[in-house]
Amino acid sequence: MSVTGALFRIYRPIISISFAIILVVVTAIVTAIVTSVTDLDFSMWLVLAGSAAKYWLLVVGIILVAMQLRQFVVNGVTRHEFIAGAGVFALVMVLGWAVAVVLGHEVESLLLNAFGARGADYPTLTAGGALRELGSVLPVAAAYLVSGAAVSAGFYRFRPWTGLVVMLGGLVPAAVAEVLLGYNEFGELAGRVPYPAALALSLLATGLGGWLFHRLISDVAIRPAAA
Amino acid sequence: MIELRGVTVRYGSTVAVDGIDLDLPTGKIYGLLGRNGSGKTSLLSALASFRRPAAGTIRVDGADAFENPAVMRQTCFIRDTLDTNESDKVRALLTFAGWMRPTWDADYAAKLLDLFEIDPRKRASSLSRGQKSAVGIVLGLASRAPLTILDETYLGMDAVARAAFYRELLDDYLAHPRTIILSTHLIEEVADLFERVIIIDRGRVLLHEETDELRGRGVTVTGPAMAVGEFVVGRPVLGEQSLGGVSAVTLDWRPTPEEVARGESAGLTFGPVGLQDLFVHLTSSAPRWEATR
Repeated sequence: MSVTGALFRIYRPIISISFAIILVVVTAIVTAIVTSVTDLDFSMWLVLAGSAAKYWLLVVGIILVAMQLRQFVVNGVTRHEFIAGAGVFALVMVLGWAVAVVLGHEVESLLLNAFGARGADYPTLTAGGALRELGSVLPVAAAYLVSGAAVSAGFYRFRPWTGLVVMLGGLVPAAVAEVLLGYNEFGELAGRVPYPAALALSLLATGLGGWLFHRLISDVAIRPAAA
Repeated sequence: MIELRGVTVRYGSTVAVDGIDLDLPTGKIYGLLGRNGSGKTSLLSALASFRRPAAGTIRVDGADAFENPAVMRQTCFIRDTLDTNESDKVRALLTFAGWMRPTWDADYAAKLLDLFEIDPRKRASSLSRGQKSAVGIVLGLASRAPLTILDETYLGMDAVARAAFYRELLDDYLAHPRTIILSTHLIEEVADLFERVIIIDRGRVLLHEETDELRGRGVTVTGPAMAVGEFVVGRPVLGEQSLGGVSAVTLDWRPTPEEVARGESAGLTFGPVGLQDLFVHLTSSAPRWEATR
């Protein structure tokens, strides 16, 4: 089985449970509670699911190194095969979550409208808006995942103090993406840099984070598990 | 053929493996012996590509081993710590090995779990030290990897479980010949399995020989201290013990029948040197291997 295939089989229950929790907690419970009091003038989905998605991906990046790297290498997979397979897995995850966030916003919009709970200022999603939102969510999600992986790789490879130093570099992709491409509860870019420049800078930072991750992992010693 | 040339493993300023050269023909069971901190695990980690050597090359059938998918897929290295996530269930470990190992034998793994009385529903965190070792053995043997490396995988296992392990190892090796490298401190217990023995000390190869040759290379001469002293003059002495007027000297030397007869006429007796005794003598800090009276 390929690394990507194995990762999806490992993460399948985790993905299902995480998505179910976000879906149930966000759409069914929180939104229901808030809309019972007042109409919604912002997107609860973007606030909660949007944040949950990027932090979830950050954690996935950390876990991929902390838990899965050794698991694969001790079963005969090279580090480069792992990096390639995990890269494809990560790409699909990032795309999936980004699309889910945008689609969820649309579903929330339709549901609020159906129940008459949509406020006047609610950021109704248009086709163009969906693309803009995807253009923001996607690089942010990728940056968070890469940051998680790079930070974790630093701690895996080095001693804690060196890992802390590497962590500062590893967090750059997430920080840059958040500042330049982060979106608010109205689905608008929070930063003031024009989108093309913000996207280019964010992708550059994410690319450097990916390069750092590759350098840290490509020949790292596989540490034994704690006895 | 597995070829190691000038393999060096360093941890900062500490040299764990110091320029080791070895040629290991495949299809044999090797015993890798060495004292604590002698560099066994570091050498095996390099051999299994778990760690890149600071210097030197490792080639398997002519191909560089490090990060070589074809070589790594054919290599299974089981360390004394079970390399898994503590939250994983035993069943999940075996399933995962089945996904990734082309030569994995699930039926054999199930049989071994029964043999060692391991509940596959248990999590790694709830296994005892011996049970973790047994799971490592299951992973190592059922992988049927052409190069299987078992590094002190007996830790915590009771005598019955260890005997079962040795029996299974030999049976499975005979049924599915492959290269097996066993690192162990329980030398006498497992010595009969070894076809070749490698002894390393302070990161260097002290000895690499066929087990049968090794068994016959030493002799213990016992008798009156003075007669023993006279007999062993000029011979390479591995160790010496004295009690009262009786002395026992272990020699790295094989006497001829005439020399044995001469010694016996002087009241001396000659005995074989066990692999463990030889190992102890070779790796004790004093007298050293090179010592000669």
